[in-house]
Amino acid sequence: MDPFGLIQQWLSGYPAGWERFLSMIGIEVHWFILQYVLGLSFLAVVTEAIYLKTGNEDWKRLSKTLAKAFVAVFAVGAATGTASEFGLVLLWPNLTEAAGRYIYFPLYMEIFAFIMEGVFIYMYFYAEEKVSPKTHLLIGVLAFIGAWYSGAMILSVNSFMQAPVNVIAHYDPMIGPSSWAPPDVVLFVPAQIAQALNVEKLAAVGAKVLGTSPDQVTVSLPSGLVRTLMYEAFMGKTIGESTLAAVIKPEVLPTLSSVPLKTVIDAIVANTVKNAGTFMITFLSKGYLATYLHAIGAALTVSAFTLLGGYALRILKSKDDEDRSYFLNALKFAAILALVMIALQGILFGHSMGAAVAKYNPEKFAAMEATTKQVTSLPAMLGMESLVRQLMPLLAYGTPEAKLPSYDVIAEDYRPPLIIHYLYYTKIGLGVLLGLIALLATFLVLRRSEWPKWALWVAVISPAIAQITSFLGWGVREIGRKPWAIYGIMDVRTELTINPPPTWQLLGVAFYLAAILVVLVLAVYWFLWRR
Amino acid sequence: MQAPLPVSAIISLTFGLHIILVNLDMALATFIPLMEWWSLKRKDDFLMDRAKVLMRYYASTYAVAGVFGTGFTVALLSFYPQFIGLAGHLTWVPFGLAILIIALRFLTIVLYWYLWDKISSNIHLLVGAVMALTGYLIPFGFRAVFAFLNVPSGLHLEPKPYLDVVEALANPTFLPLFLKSVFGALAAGSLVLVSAYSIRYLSAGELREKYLDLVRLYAKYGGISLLLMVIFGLWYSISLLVTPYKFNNIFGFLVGASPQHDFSWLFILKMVLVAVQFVAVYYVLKGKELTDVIGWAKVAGPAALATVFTGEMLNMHSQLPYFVAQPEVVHSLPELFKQALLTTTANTLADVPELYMITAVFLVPLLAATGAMFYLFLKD
Repeated sequence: MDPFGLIQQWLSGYPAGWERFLSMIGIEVHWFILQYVLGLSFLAVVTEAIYLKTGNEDWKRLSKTLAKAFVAVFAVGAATGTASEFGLVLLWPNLTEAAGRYIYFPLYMEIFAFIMEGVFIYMYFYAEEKVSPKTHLLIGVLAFIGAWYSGAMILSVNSFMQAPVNVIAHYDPMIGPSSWAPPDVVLFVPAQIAQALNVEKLAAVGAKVLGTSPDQVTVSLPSGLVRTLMYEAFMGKTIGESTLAAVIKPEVLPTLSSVPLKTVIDAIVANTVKNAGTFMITFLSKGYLATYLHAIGAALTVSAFTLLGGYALRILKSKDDEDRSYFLNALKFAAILALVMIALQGILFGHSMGAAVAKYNPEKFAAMEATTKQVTSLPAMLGMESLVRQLMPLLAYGTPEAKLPSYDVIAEDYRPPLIIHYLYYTKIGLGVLLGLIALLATFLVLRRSEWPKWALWVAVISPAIAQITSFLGWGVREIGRKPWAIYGIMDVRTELTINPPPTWQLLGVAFYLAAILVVLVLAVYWFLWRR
Repeated sequence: MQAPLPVSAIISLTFGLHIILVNLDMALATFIPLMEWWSLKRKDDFLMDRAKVLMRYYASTYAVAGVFGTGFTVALLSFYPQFIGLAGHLTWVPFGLAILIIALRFLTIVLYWYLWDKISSNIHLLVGAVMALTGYLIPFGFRAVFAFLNVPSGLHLEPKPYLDVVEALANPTFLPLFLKSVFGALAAGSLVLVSAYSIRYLSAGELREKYLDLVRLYAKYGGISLLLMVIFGLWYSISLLVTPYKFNNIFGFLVGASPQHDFSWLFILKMVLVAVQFVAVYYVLKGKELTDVIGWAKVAGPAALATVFTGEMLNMHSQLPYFVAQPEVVHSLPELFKQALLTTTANTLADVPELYMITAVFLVPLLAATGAMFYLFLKD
């Protein structure tokens, strides 16, 4: 498959290619900004605390600059968040409805996070002279906690979409590719509905009864059946028109035939959610902690490199020496922070995330590693294939004896787009590059030697590299979720609006949002540095 | 049966706070660039300083309006997911336009405030003009949706449910609702400034006369806007005759109707508040005693904000338990559509006492913090 084929597979191999493209741009524009709200708010508080401890005015100045930067972008971040929210409602209304019905809790709790962020971020910036220094610091702590709390809520929903608590992936790395099977979904069927089902016919389609109680029957259903039923339910079919009719007892079918399938599916899913815990279900999703740490880590990494780039640019542009000592101090802080964060991201958070993907999304992992004959993998192109193939089982499963899942063995309608392999390895490569830049910067600041001009320019472009790396990370995660909207439960065709907009409108909105981001970046640059 | 009480309270609170702040937002985004322009034209530093102070206040609070708007949407999603899902299938154009304008609006606010004195005044004024204009375009999209909820003009069910946007904009309730909202916002914003400047007047020392001029100026604008709001409000009331269920619920015994839910008391309250504003404007402009002028000026703003709140609550609650205010249309729809358009049954997973307790525990301190924020910003 050539590069064009990879893009074609991603856009046309699954439904709603351009709708997905617009969602990607919209959410990325939001994420681009959000990383600064998450990262800079925290760093402003840290630097202010250092100032209160040391009394060194440089820290105060740095803290104020960081606060200026995140308060300027916060509002547009909120607006792009609203745009993303409405975008999800308008393009993927069935997914939105399902989220509102079954996993509303973290979204609901995010309301309070929004209020907390909105109130304390502005109070932190605008009320500094009206409160004591310690109160101001406390307001700052509440501001960044608001942002991180908001992230914790929304990431739990995303984590649920990647690996819901009641979906079981089937892959045994000690057996190898032949052990792969489509995921199963564990459902708690209310007894009243279970009584209408023909157990033998259900078993014939792969269902297993896992337990019974007077109120409900616990079953595991193949994800293929679940996604068909979800599709039919959201398309407004009745039981008689649906696949479910085949497993309903013949004697009750005439009575139930005209009942909307959605009513039955809703009762089963709502009961399943209650069993898992309505308030807890998204937080129990597999890999949630790794997701959260990796995202916060990305925000801090991007913020650190942006600081590094910003102050390197100031040194390059500064015509007098008046501010030089402050710039160098800020650069030192940024360099050390960037090194710590990129190391944490790579060694700890990223690794945990990768291991979670290997365990809970074997199909995505197979695509990330391109274990297929359809494409030439990047490690193969670089002559490192055997090294990577030996190393990866150890990293992913903790033992060199483990085997990677084979993309070619996975049934076709369960395969994610192969483009994620190239995105993933490009991300890894850029991550390594960021590590080297951070090492170089730390070496220069610790040696207290003069920065060569080329090194300053390298630092200047590092924020762009960090943003691209972060973008690619989300790209791998979200593109790799295909063909699913919610892994094992709902696919892309089900979540899509029944009135898809014309392609020109989708592309127009995508470019519009990107243009707004460009103007915002320029505005913040002028705001921070223009006198 | 109406919506469950706690659900109704949460949705009303978030929407009410959002709409009050949005009305102020629209008016301030109009008046601030105007004040900048006047000050440049007249070389009046006092006006420029006032514009900057207002913008500082506005820049620190406008996102809070958005936050409560998001709160309202998410509350609606949590309690009525089917309604949001159905709206998503139909409203790409009106909501899509509103989204594009929201993104542009927030950007222009950031550009206008943070680049003040860093770019040329002409470009700055141009950004201000776009900022003001976007304030009117956002409700253009949202009020189109509200009008659709009065009368589902443009809704077609065959071959699949879709919205004909041209037909939807021809909705008889849309234009009067939009114009009433615009002038209502300008009236509320003007009269809040009348109150705010009258308070400043008391401690302004040698600048007292200048503040008094501003009080009278905004009272004039507020009075004119209020009059136009009443005229367009009358038009809106007449247009609601196409939806007798809502019309009768609003006017109740006043029009000899026996409605299902009589909200005429809320309508009367709103009219009393409007009357208070007219009296306040009269005394501010024509009052001979300074104590009368200042006293009534202080009343005008709170009365205007209360009018906005009661008006929106009246418009929202008078059509319940239907999201679309035409019961005959709702009942004629397929079962799943009908369920989505009724407020009587909220999401059973969300309509639980535990959630209401959590809401109270989180919301009360955060509303107190919001109050503290406004207090700190207004503190000298």
